[in-house]
Amino acid sequence: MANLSESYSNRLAEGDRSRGARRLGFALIVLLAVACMSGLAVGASDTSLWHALFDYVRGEDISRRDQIVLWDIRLPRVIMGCLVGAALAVSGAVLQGLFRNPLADPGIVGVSAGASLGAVVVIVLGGMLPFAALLGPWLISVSAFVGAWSATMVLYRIATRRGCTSVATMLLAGIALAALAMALTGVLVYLADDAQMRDFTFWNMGSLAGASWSRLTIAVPLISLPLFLSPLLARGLNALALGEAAAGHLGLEVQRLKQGAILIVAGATGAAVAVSGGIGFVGIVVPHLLRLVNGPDHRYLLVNSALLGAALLLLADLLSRTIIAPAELPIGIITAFVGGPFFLWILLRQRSVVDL
Amino acid sequence: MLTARDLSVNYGSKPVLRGVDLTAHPGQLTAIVGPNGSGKSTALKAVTGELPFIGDVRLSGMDVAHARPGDLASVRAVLPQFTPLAFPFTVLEVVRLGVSRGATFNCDQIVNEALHRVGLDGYQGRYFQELSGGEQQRVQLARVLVQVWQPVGDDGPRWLFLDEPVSSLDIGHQLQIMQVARTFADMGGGVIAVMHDLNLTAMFADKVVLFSNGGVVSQGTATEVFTDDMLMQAYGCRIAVSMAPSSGPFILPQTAALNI
Ligand SMILES: Nc1ncnc2c1ncn2[C@@H]1O[C@H](COP(=O)(O)OP(=O)(O)OP(=O)(O)O)[C@@H](O)[C@H]1O
Ligand SMILES: [Mg+2]
Repeated sequence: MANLSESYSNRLAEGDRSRGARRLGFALIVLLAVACMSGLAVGASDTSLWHALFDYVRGEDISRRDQIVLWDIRLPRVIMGCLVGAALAVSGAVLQGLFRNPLADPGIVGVSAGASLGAVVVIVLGGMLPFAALLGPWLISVSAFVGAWSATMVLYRIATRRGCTSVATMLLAGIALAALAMALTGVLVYLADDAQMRDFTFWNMGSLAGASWSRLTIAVPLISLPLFLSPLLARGLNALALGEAAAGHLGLEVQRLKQGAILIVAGATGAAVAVSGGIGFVGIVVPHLLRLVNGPDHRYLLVNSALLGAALLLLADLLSRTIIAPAELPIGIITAFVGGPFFLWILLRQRSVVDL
Repeated sequence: MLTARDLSVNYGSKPVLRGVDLTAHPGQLTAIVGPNGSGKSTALKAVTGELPFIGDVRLSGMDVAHARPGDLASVRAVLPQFTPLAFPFTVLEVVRLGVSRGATFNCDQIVNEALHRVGLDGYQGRYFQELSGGEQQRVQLARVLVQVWQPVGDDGPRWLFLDEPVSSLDIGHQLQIMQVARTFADMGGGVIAVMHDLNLTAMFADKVVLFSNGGVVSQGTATEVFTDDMLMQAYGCRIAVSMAPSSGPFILPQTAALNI
């Protein structure tokens, strides 16, 4: 009898990857903590986090310069890195679930192209726009966010007929819309002078260098709200793997799920791209890696993507700050340099096994 | 009880179902048969609320056209003719998708019991995409069974809508799966199954509905519906119906299409 129940519980465990996914989640929290500490500890200046902490604990004063480096430069940058990395990875995972395709990326729903257009509009035409002065330092971010958000909403409208959104239409129209936005961006870049062109190119390559407490005051709510709402989509995205009809038969409100997913992606990616520029590959590589390890169950995939995305972006930012210190390499270049070949390697290695 | 009155469905401007009347009772296995393209799947999609339709469909008193997906899902489960699956889920994970959110029962025990009923013991850890066509179909059936585990719930009978549940199975598994459906009906649940195998239908169904050209041409018991003339009209080929002393009518194909 004991034997029987033992073999039964063994059988239960088979095919059940949720335990492993939870364990990985805890490991990722540790990784993220380490990445945060390294982000605070390492940088172009010789300020030492440990000395500062040590002094603080002993009740001694920390030098003004160290305070500024740690508190006003590195900490906001670390927080921004966490938010942006989590936003990009979670948006990728949500979109891949929605399109039922592991290659979907926020770029697909026109977010990135819309953001670029928004950014270039104010960089090139900024002087002529009436509201430009009002927004001051937030100008590029706000405009990029508006661009990203409007592109996605236009796309949603195009793909929705009689209250039902066609994901396939969205995919195709997204390509057309992105091409259009890129053409407009191209026209504006053509009109730009050298300084504007340089501004735009750097924005487009992505960087966390602009992180500051004042920028965080808008980025934190805009990014974290969709992030915290995203787990609500998990069960629905799992069911959607069976197709829209079967998901509906399982009791899912499919149209509401699609709306929720699109809002979350437009919000999170729009804000992330707006404050940090174009940072590629996080949205594809992170969820893909996690699916390889623990399977596609979105209840764990979304949370783990947030953790891994945040940690990876912090590490990439660390590289970007130190590789050619005191200068900085744009982080988008690093994620593409590391992410591109890594992704190709995964594809080559995976080809023979189950089609992902 | 399932009642569809004057059910019509158009794809674009093309009428596919015209004025279909259909009833099915809990405790019975109702089979829908008919040639390819006669509208069987379309009818099933309409009465399960997947397709918009004209007419009136009620399932256990619920107005299907306006019911919330969640309410429908708690009384009926649907096995589509094809179920694609994105992403590499394991068999266990696929069957678990059928477990409803508020389920109070021990989910894993029931998932394993469902896999046992469809003859897939020990398949829990396999990737769904790695399985053969017939195995995949049985995994999906297990998922559907889990969704309406009790044939009769507190609020009345549960329903299974199965579109060709045995079409890609070997004869042993055909019998096994039909027996699962039969048992569900015998325990008080309702089963509506689209079938192509007329002999299996005659063996297991309480009621047969014959579709042709987007309409119902005959319904009743297998003995009533399966007559040489009726089948010849519907399928366009010669079929001989005989009676077996114990198990009712059996059908022997004679010659291929008449119009060749
Ligand atoms: N999405 C669609 N758009 C247009 N016409 C369709 C669509 N789906 C089905 N039809 C048409 O509706 C008719 C009925 O199709 P249905 O799928 O209901 O047939 P069926 O009886 O289930 O056939 P089979 O035995 O091959 O499964 C067919 O003529 C088919 O061409
Ligand atoms: Mg069919």
